[in-house]
Amino acid sequence: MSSDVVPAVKAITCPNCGGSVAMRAAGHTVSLVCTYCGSTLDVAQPEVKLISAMHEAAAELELPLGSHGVLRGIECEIVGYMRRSAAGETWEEYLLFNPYHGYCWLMADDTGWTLGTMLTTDPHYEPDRGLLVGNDRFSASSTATTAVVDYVLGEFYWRVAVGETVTMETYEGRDATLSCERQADESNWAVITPLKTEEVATFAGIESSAMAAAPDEKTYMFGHVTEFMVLGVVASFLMLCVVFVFHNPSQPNWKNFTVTPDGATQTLTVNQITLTRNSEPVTIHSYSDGFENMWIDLDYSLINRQTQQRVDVSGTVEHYTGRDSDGAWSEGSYHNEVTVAAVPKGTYDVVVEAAAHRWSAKGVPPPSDPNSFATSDLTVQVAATTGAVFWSNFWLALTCVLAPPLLFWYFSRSRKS
Amino acid sequence: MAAASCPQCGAEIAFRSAALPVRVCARCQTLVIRTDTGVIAVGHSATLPFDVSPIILGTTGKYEGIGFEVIGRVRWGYPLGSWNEWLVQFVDGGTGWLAEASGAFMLTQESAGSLVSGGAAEKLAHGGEVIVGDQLTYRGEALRATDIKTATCIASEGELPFKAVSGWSIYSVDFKSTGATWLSAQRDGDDVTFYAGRYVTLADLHAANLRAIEGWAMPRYTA
Amino acid sequence: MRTSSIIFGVWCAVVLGVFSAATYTGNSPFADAGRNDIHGYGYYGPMHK
Repeated sequence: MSSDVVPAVKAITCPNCGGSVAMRAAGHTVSLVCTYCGSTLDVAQPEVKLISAMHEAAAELELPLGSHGVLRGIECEIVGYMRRSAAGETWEEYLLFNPYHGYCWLMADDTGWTLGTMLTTDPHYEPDRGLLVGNDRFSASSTATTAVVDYVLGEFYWRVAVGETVTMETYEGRDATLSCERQADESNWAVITPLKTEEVATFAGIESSAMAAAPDEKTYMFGHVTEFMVLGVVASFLMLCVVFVFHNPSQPNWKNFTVTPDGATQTLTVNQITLTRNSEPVTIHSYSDGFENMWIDLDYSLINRQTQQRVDVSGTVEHYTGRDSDGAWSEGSYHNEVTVAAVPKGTYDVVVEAAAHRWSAKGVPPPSDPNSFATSDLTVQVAATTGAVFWSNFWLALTCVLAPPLLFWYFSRSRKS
Repeated sequence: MAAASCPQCGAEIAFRSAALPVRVCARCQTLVIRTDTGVIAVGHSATLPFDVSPIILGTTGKYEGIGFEVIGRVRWGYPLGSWNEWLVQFVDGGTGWLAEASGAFMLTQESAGSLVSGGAAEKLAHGGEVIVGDQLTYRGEALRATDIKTATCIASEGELPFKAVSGWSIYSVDFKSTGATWLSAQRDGDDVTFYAGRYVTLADLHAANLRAIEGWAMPRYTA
Repeated sequence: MRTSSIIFGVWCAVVLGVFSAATYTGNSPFADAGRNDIHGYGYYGPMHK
């Protein structure tokens, strides 16, 4: 017999949908999943049999079936694809075939790409050395888990079915991992070695950077969390610096005046402030004390000397006290600070209108209310300063900058566990 | 080498040795046996299904230093698949089988029954059913049964040591060891034959005259 | 994913820039307007009981 060149592929007609599917490992293939309708076909005998009829189009694979290239020095082609899961983790397995060299496995999971080769001899166990394959030692690394087939595409040399389970155990060695899969009484051993994404990209003829979904990127995500955190922390630190660099409050120039509780409203021009920047924040401080159950309404106005434009803002200085079943209580503050945002450049007169009131739950208190401490006038000190720190701005910006890395870190952690 | 004509179609057929009396006529797939009185047709082989096996009749190689040539093939099938067994003839006249399954190759030679002992061997001898894990010893090495099936001959070609007619069924058990040894037992009725050898690769065999497959670079193994 | 680090870096720069501009000009959506209706209570007196 001469060695005429024979075709590598045999066309199989799907009995379910009539589609023509390429069979790349004729003679070995037992199960073939139709790429058009997803039905599983039994091709062990010359007559194609329908095992399970389906009506779904094939999923798009990162490495398409039929990809032909060189991996670790061996020319091979992707003929099958399986997605399996065990103990909450999912991984993908590509069955590679070369008619002269047989089969091997290209696998992808959370930790990267690996190459699996079936062992022809079973490893043997030596009590003091562990599991041995030739001279390589392996030790048990995971307890037996049940691996289930979630999805299949392409062709396989055994009968595959979604839902098929095997018991899996792995053993760690220095440069490789051993995997043992048991089903009924059969056990299949494979040696698994790590691959670089570049090697897989070269094999499949895809750009390394285009393998965005490449599993080892997911590991690297943890490295990227660190990058994100660093960026976030640096940005936060710079923001803090910005706060202190730009904050140059002027000295308060306190002006005092008196108000009579429930008396007339006092108007006073407190001081003048000059804003040199195009836009600046202003803080107006007020202070009074020595009273209880009273409040002082303060209406401030910033009036621009040139334009007569005004900004109105109000504040309150108040303090209340009393007793109830839980004991004594007090509320309020003798200090008041209001911040005015983005006041335009210019010289401003700061005018304050103050009115003090006595408070009582019943309404207007009788003159001899034992809770009101003073009927005499209250002294109020007011000053306006340029500059204000809006900490709320800072916290908002901080959240914008630190939330993404923290969320990322949280999600990548729960992935790894 | 004796030349004869196919009794069915008249095509020229040749027999290499007396030890290989069976031949499949290349033209009409009739199984022909050479006897003292001549050649007679004894059955038929179905057409071999298409496969991408790299081996063809005429493939050569070397095993344990002795050269061989592939001269025949039987394709066996069972409910869960099928595989090829290629008959190889060594330059020293001996024969062996190169089994090809799931992309792996195993080369074995018929072994004397006296070299095999153990529970599994007993079961086989007495017509019993072997189960996975049953042990036997070959030349002092322990082996365990890994694969048990009833295989049916699908088709055959070339020269053969037995009548491999399509539909012929045998009980087949494979044994593996923790070393390199691989053994296969075949029971046909009451006859049990043991074939012992090991896993090989085409590179190990320095295979040459392999089949050319479109789109695949033919490997060149230096002798 | 290198790209996403760059995108995040740009985002941080944008936030930093906006924050700096707001701080320099004294802008803030949180600036006081004193006690008014936004806070939900329109009368004076303690909250207690």
